[in-house]
Amino acid sequence: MAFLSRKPVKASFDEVAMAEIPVLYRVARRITGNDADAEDAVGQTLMAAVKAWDRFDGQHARSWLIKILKNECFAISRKRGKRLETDISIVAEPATEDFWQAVDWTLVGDHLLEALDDLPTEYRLAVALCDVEQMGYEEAAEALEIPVGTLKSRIFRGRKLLRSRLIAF
Amino acid sequence: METFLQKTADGSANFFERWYAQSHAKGCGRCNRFLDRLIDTVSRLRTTKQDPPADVMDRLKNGDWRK
Repeated sequence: MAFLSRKPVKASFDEVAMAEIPVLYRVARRITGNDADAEDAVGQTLMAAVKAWDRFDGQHARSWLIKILKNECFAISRKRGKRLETDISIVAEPATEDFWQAVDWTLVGDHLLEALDDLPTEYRLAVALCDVEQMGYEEAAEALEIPVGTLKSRIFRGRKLLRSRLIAF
Repeated sequence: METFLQKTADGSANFFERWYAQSHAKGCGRCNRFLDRLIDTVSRLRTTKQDPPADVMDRLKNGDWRK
């Protein structure tokens, strides 16, 4: 019965990094808004993560890496003098009727990511992690360091805002 | 109700939540449209997932973190 108490084997950093680079890059792209900063942020994240790997327990590697990535992205944006944080309390709730209007997806096409990037950071990240990357609520909340309830309300509101913006195309 | 509809659309609802949301939506035009549009939006978002360009992947895979 000894196998029952055996601790799960922690993957190597190399294995985890290889698997997560595409996710990290997409998330960084959503936060920073451009390819060069996204690449820098992922590079910095990998550097920071490899140094901290021995102290990491191996659980929820994606959340752990995104947590580091988020801070790297914000640091890069601060250096560039960009303001990423939006006071989400001032974002107007989309008119409910908008949500029910049909979106002409043939027109929207490539504008979907553009519309997503246009959302305030908090909503954009919640939608990007849960809908684009298909992370679970708990995992995404851990990555963003917010309670699950807060994450859910950001996703729900973010989807409505996104749809109301898509109707404009 | 909106929470159940949202969770049904993204697949995170449990059996009871999904059943409740779908049963309600069948008899409620507003919620039915809301659920349809939501499923539509979430499924479109899922298709936007693309890998980074090959040159970026190469640089990141072989970056300074390997030193």
